[in-house]
Amino acid sequence: MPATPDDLLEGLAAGREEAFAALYDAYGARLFAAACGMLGSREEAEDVVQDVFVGLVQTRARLRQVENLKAYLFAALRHAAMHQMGRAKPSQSDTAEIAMPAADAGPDAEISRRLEVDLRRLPREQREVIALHIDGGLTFAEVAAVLDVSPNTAASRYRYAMEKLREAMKESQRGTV
Amino acid sequence: MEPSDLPPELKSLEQRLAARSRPQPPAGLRPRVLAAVRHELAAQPARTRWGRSGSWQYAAAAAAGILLVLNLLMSMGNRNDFPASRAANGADIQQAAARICELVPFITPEDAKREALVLRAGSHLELVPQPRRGVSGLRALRQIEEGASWVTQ
Repeated sequence: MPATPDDLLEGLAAGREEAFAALYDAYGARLFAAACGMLGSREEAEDVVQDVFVGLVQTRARLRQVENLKAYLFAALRHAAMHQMGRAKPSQSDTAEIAMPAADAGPDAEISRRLEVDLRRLPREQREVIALHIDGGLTFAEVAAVLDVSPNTAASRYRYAMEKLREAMKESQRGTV
Repeated sequence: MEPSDLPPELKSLEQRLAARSRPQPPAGLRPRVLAAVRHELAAQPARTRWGRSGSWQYAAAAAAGILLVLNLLMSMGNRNDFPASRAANGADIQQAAARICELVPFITPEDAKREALVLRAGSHLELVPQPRRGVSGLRALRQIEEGASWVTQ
């Protein structure tokens, strides 16, 4: 495994397979979780993560100039997810199975399920800012870099998304009571 | 804004979101992704080689085109032996000019050469029938048939 991020970038740029394996081990799970949050489908998230890695191979010569690999990766993920959303038929995304972990069970399972459903109902811009920050573990500065907006815009978009989610959850609770 | 800036209600929602179990990638995704990476890595050098050879072919074709154009331009540039210049440098023109100089003492050599050229041009004129002024087309033809005089210009 490469010792430093620079070694990792150098290995990726040189096309060394072990560097791509190390990159997957470092970011694969977070990329997958964020992709699930953006797309709401495990199958599409798998395709998108694979697309990101194939895209990295194709553009590896440019990787030496990348300053923040994490932000670069998630920007590539967002791009691939948007491409995937464009490819998917509207009916597919509407009826897509919610990306719930199979092992999720217990008293909080219903709340978690409702949370996922309400997340899916958010507009795409708000869904992706939550996916990047919560599921991807990106800071607001990194989210801003991914979305190509200012950190203040990223933070306010996140806050607005959280308010919308809270409202949606309140409505869901009213509906079930 | 930092997450700590959120009001308590949103902060608890954020904590709930962060604490929920996130979807984990299936075990098969890693080998699948790495196989795709391996495949792409294997395919790309071939593409690069093809791209390089393609660019070499393009450069060779462009160089051949440039050489062809240069060759044509050079041959056009070298072909300056026009009939007029050949005639102007011909021995008969020189002789005619010398003869004119003998006959017309005050004429300059340049004018003599020009006159010689005019004489030579005149000697190459073809005889062209020209109807007299005011004669209609049919009558002109009839005059030619009847052996009317030929006029040269």
